[in-house]
Amino acid sequence: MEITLYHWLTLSSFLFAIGIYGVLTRSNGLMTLMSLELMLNAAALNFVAFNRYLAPSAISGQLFTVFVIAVAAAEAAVGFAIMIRLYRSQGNIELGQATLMKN
Amino acid sequence: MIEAIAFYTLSTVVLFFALQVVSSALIMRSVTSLICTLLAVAGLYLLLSAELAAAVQVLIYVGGIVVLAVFAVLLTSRIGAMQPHLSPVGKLAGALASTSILIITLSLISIAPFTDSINRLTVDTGLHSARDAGLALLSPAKGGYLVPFEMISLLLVAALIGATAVARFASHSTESEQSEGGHQ
Repeated sequence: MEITLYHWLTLSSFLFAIGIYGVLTRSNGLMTLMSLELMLNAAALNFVAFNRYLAPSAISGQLFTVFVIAVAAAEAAVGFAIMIRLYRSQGNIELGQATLMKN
Repeated sequence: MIEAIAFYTLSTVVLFFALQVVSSALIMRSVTSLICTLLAVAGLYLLLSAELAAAVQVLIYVGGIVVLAVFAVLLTSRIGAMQPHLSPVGKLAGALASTSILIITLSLISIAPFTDSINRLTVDTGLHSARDAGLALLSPAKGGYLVPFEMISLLLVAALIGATAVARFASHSTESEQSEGGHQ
């Protein structure tokens, strides 16, 4: 019973699909951002798994994971700030109701 | 054998809490489930002998991003407030879309030409220490990551300044906007 690369890729595609489900079904802006974090984690897991199996002497995959996490931090900071701003202007963070610029 | 047990346990934890994140009606429960998911993913990184990635995951994700998420949740929703339920049609459409994407990725993985030698775990050469990562990040030579490192630093500074600007400048016009939009 050996864990192969296929196991890791299967796990991360399940995690990615769960994240997509969350993005598509939740109307709350914070929930959408959190589902995005799940999808980013699935991608980062792929980087580390490929690093371990295809090039165990390199460190590139781990560094890309670090970059992904840093970009996720930037995205989360801006996203949550926008959500707080949205809450102040419309009273909730339902994405379907954010039509201020449309009307 | 131990690796297999650890892998399956951690994967179960990850998938269970990830489902909990996207399906829980309480937003605070979603956040705590997200913490559990991220910690279990850090465990998976350790299983792949990626100590640096695991440490960064715990420090930045669990210690930084989730704390930001908790702040945002506490500022924008009442504790215990239930999220409005989506219509069954919407849920079905989301499930259908994510399942089809899952099927596409799984079929692509199953036809991927990974040879058996690649698929076996080779002996860890031990080049995964944080020291090597730091040297690789700061080396301008070929195979180094100096330029991406600097770019990511710039991006983080710009994003954090932008985030504080977006969240802070809002407070000047808060009162008038809240009186007209906040209590509908």
